[in-house]
Amino acid sequence: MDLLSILNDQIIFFATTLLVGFLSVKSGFITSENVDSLSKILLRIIVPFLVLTVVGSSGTRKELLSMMPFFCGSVIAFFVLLVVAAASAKLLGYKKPLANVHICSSTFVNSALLGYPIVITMFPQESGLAIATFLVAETIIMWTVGVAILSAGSGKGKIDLKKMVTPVTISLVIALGMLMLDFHPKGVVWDSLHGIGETNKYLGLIYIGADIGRRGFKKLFERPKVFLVSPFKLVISPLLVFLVLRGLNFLSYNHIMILTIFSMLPSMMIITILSQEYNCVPEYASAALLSTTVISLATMPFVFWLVTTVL
Amino acid sequence: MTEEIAVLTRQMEILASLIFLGFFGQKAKLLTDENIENFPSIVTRFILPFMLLTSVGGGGSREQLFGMWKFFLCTVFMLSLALLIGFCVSRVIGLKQPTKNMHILVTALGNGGFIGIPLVAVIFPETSGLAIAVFALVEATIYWVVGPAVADTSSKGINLKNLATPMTISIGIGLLLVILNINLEGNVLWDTMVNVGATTKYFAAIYIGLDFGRKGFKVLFAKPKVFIAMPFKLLVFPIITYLLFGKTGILYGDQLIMLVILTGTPTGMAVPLLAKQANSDEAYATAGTMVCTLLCIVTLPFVMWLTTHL
Repeated sequence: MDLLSILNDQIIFFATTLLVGFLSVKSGFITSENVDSLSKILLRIIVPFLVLTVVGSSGTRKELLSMMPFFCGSVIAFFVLLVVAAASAKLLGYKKPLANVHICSSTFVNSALLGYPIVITMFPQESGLAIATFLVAETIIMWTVGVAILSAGSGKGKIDLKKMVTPVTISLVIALGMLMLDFHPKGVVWDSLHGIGETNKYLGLIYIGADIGRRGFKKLFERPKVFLVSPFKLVISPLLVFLVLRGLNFLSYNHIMILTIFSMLPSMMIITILSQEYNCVPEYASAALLSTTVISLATMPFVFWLVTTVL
Repeated sequence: MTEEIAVLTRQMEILASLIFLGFFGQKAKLLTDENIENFPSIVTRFILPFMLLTSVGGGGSREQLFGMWKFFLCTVFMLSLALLIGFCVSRVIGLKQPTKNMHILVTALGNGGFIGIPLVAVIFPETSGLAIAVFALVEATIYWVVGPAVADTSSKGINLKNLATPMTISIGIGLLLVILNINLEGNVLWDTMVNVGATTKYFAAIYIGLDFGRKGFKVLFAKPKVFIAMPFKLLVFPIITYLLFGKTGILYGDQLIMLVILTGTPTGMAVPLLAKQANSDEAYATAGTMVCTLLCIVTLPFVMWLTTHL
């Protein structure tokens, strides 16, 4: 099966699972409190175990050290996303703090709940180390540059490095430590951890669907300008990332495709929470998350088709 | 049979690992008590219903469903016998109300949803659907109709409305699909529900561990008399099931082994909830549930091994 067909199947699966989550909230099967707890369960148990087991089983120390070019590629991809986001904020005439939240919503991607399952399915051999490397770059940029941009929205511009310590980053450090020591665990406990991590594919999407269900679509139309995030974030940015990385010609084709896939994902969920914390137009972040998640179901196959067949 | 014992033992190892991980997660403060309290809601209102719907709906044909009547009668008999034995033992050991009635429930009500059904579904993926439906329906009736009436000593009767839960509704829809011979396998929505349901094993076991973590091991020894329920719940009932229905030929093959496993599950996680709702002896119910759950990791494979020598 070619990559585009795999991606299309994944998108159908995503749409169905989102719908299941959406309907579960609308029909009252799960409450808003349950949804809140589900997000905690995902971010504190399921995603950390996914990162630990996928990265921890991904290769050897030698292979990990050979991922330096991919790390540089990830940084370049984030730089491109950031530039497009800043340019689009200027183009749309956004002022502080709206411009700040727009830049963060447009730059950072929902890699954990959407990106990892796609990359694992499409590139099973390379996904472990690629996820580990991307996650390192994402964590550093998110909690330094991202937080600085959001906090500058309310006038402080302060970076809090302590916030980088999360269950996901702790798992990543443990997994990288295991790789560096060439320690490859096996057995029931490891399999159980892996099994828990694998449930991310379903529960992550159900959470997003349920979250959309409880927020409702009204939010989108209260701020129609938020729809303008999508063409920049979901189409222009990933195409530019692809073209820049291909032009620089230092990564393999599969690594370029993995970074292009990460770049075409909808907004990162945590931006909504951080924008609330920094009082930086949280309603915009929430509407951007909602609109990019729904619209990405159509743009992801389109962008992927463009990069694999047209460009 | 040896193969089933090996699969069951492997599943019990996974169960123990997951309980340990949940316990560790709670101790590491990964989740708050509020998050943990929402866990069973997510499982029983969302994940488990999908598992029941898809296991039952894809579990067989209309003819096979109608052929389950013996399994149905055996399940009713065993769960009624468990209530009766619980009642007799509570009298013999001289328990007073409300502990007396709580002892009956600790002895009789199993953990089909969180342990038995996920186990049976993994060990017998092809043949378990209808057996799960039949057992879950009988168990749900006893849990939510008889259970509250027994737990609440001042109760005036039973409330059939309690039967309408997401789990029983999904079993109902699943049975309807079987009766109407509707096969949805291969449909994206159906496959998604199958996969979501398959995560029950993980979430149910992690919840058990999280719950252990927040309640602590002290509660295990808070009510020593509850230990008297253990041999009945975990050994006597499944062995009676095997001897009574297996040796007489009433049940055989997969159906017999499935009922042995389902009657050998520990006390259900909902029993402390029933005690709380009825303002009964919650500490007794909690101790019973925890002790049974820990011991079942050893007793279930032991019972299976024993049945090969009987």
